Amino acid sequence: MVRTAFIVIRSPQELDPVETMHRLADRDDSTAILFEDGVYNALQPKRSALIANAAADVIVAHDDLEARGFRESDLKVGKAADYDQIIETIMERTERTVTI
Amino acid sequence: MTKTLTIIWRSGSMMAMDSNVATKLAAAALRKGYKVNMFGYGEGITAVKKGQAPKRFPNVGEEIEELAKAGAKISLCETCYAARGFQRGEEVEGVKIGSLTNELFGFISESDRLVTIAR
Repeated sequence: MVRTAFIVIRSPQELDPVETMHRLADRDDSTAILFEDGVYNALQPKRSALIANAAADVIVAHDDLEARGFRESDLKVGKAADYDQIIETIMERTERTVTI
Repeated sequence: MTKTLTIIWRSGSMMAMDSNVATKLAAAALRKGYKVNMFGYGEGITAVKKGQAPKRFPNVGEEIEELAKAGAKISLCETCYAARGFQRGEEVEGVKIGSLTNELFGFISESDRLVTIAR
């Protein structure tokens, strides 16, 4: 299967990304990259379990986490990353991107 | 062979941080040695207006101008630009007024990855 980077920029309350993620790729081939309010998918207990079930890797934009008053230690799933690491994931560790 | 990333942005410069995410991705990709194309359309064209003066937000127009200086190829949709009353010359330096059919598809055809930042 094609290794897919799902770019999530909206909060789970605004748009739940996991249904689309399940439909387009298997969990083992999926990386979720969370920007802006998308970071809330990795901060709320129920939501983080759902996204962990949809993507083997969860990457959270460190800038957007801090802008909202959170730290990496607040994450329920995944890890914080800077933009260089995010570009590495997009360009080298996945093969296509889907924005949700 | 150097890989190429094309970033499409379509959100207005002040309605969310989307255009800032796009510029930060482009800056990181250039830093890491990739070729970068960017294409804006719809409300995204507001990000290239010269003379923006946001008080407490990053100045995305200046960021785009810096990216063009750093080697990114940046274009936007002429139709969307004119539809919103912008005149040629109101955009920051280094941005080409283009079209989906020419510039965007040219960018896509030469790209290894395509990222869209829009809502």
